[in-house]
Amino acid sequence: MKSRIPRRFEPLSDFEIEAYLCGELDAAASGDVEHQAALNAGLRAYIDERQRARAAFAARHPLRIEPLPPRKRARNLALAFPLLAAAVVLVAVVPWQPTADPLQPGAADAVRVKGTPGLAIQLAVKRGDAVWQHREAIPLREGDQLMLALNSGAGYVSLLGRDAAGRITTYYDALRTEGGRFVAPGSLTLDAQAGDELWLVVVSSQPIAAAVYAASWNRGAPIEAAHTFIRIRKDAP
Amino acid sequence: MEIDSWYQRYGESVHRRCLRLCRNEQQALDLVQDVFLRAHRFRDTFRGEASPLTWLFTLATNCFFDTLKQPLHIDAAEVEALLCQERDGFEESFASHDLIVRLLSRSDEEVRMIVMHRYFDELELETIAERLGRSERTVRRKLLRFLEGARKLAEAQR
Repeated sequence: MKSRIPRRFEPLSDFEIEAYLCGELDAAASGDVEHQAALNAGLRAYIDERQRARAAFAARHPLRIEPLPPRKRARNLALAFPLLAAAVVLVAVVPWQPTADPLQPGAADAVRVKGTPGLAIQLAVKRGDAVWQHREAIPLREGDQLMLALNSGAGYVSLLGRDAAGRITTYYDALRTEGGRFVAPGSLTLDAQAGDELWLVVVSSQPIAAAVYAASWNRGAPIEAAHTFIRIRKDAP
Repeated sequence: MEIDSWYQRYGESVHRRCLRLCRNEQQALDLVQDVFLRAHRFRDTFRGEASPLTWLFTLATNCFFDTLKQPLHIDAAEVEALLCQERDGFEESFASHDLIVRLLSRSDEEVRMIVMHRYFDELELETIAERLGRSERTVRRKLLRFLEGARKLAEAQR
């Protein structure tokens, strides 16, 4: 048995290429991979193809686990309790439609995103049998369920929340929208934690991870995509 | 560790590894979720001794074989056809064959790691030995035993 087995892209091992794609190699080792890619058209094509696949993967197949359970402010029922979530969605949507489709151009409470004609974002609240469009003037309570809807072109939408302590949680990560009416899957249920929360809705044409926006938000940098903030006011429990 | 950012960075690579193990797109996508769920649950055990990619690949291997209720089926004729190839060409064919995964379903964890490092990661024996804290001689011996076991399995089923 030889010490080495033949490699698909000699002299690089498959693991070296993966590490390069993941940004784990230092500058010298990355330079080696780039050098080999310059010499080998097959490797160059493979790397290009993988980089395209990498850019699209997380948006196409979002992580389904709850991002940070110990810190979470809201719980995505669609992830934790699929059947219950399905029931909640049905109950929430049925009475919602006759009163006002949140995505109709004339909907009074839609948030129009500045500089982005045609993009309107709405948040519906369900408490018991009552359903209404979210307004900052009406404080929310523990157990209230919120559904995000928007009217936009094809792209990706992310929803993040920042609590009073400054912790940022991702609720939706680059969900694909086909254009037109889009209702985010499931609903978000407010927990008992006190204090207001600021939600950030970002809509982009590219599959950019919510983590990128979270990082920008965290350091006070501009959010480089169409976005809006929604303040979630909560009554004391 | 922020699991979201890890998913952004490593998700596709883990998916590729899972797909190679499962050879089924839907199963691979489910396995990716299992891998990151496990990484999230056990994030405190990751001490950075290995790279995140190495750790996630190990989790992928463990998750995959943990879900198997019984060893995967092996066709004696397949093993024989592969093992009877010319000595120099054998490992190349073996590396790309799904038989390797089915054989690994009957192996212990250390052998799995050795075999995965050799045929999936394309690492040298020396590097594998270093990663696993074993001598190169031990790694070589375990690898040969694994291959010999495959041959015996084929003979037993004949």
